[in-house]
Amino acid sequence: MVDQAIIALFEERDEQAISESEMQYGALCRSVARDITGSDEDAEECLNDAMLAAWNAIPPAKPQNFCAYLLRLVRNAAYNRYNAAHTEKRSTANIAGSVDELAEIIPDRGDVISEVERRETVAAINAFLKGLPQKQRDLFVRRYWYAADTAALAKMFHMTESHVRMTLSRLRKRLQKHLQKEGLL
Amino acid sequence: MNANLFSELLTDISDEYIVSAANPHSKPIRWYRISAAAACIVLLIAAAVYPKLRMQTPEITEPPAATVTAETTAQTAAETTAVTVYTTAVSMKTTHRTTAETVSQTAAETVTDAETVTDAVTEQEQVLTVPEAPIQPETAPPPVTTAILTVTAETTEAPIQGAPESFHVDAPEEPTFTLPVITGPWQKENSASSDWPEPYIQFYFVRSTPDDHGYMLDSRYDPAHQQYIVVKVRADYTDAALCGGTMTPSGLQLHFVCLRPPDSTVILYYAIPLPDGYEIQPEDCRAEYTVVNDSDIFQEKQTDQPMIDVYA
Repeated sequence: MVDQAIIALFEERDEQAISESEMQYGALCRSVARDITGSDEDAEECLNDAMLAAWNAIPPAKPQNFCAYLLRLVRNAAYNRYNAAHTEKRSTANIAGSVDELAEIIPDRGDVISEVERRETVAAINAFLKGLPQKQRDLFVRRYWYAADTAALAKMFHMTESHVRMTLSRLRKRLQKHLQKEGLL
Repeated sequence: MNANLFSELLTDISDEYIVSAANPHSKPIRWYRISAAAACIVLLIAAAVYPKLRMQTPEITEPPAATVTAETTAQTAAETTAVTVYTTAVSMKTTHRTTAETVSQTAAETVTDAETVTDAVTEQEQVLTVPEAPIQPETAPPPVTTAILTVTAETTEAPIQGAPESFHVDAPEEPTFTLPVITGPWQKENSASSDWPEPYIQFYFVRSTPDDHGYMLDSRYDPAHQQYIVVKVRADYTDAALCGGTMTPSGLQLHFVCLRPPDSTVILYYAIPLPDGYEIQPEDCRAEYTVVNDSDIFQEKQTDQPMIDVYA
């Protein structure tokens, strides 16, 4: 079923929208949640949270890209669950490794920023991603958005793990220069 | 901002990038295809280059200019069908001289009319023997090898006498012995003009020097142990070859055969050993040649081992 049909089911308050969404994007959403939380149970709960959030938001929300919308809900849910569970202790989840890598280029200046700064940062990240070749962009997003580990990335992109790590390292340095140039770091 | 917050902010990146990364379409590199393409390219290059390499003839170094001390050329004007023969004399050191000596020599060759056609069939059998070194003309050494050479002049050809003033051998009917001639490299140039009205041939007679070995390129040629006369032939023909010749203590006469048409230049080198007592100078040398049109006749006349009949 196409995204518009699923959205139409949400708007009609038809519960089949949930099952259709799960059938269409359930595996991908579980994968994202599992990579972030590091747990299948947490991933399942994240998916349920995301479905409930979509049920509550649509309508009035009418997402242009239902797949991205649903993945974003799952990621938010997984990230909240990860932060709640691992505030005090280190995690072995993939997201922990990707955050550590980002910490190499993002100096710790607190976790509170203004809404304006948040929008500017997101716009800068989008501009940075727009300037990348598609393969490098997909690699970057897969690592830092989907929290996929390097072994999975190597298999997915037909590269060696060392090549993946080298490419990601160069991308991080480019992102750091880009954010510095934008005055965000 | 810190890394955790930045990671959260990543959540809000464009939908396009999220969906694109969800289904990456990265194709593996087909290494076997690259290898196959490279092999095809190599084969194509080899197929294009190899025939050209096979057709290339090795370059032959000209004799050093320093060995040439004098050169005189005489030529008579002739009709459009005339044949010109150049004789060039170059003096070199001999066994009786300690230093090289310049000899000015004028050797003139006349021109004969090519229209004079001699229709004759001659057949001659000669017993060719190769003497052991050192060669003693007074007492013929026992022959090492024996061969029979049959030379047939075709009636269809017009023999051109390049040296009408050639010396006459007043000798017994059978030569005392024969000398094997050492054949040097064969070189062909395509730069010759096709406008030559008639055959054009040029001879250089040179007393041997150790420097000659560079272009003789023959292990049998050893100027340190024997006296030689080195002959360089430059003929504007498709091909040319030395058929044989005669030698007396006072002179040397060579006979060449040339193959028409005169569309290229052939350069030949020969080293003719001089027996003891034969003080032949370059000006004592003469040459005549026959021009043929048929390559089969040319092949019949030429020989891999030309011999010089030596008369006492």
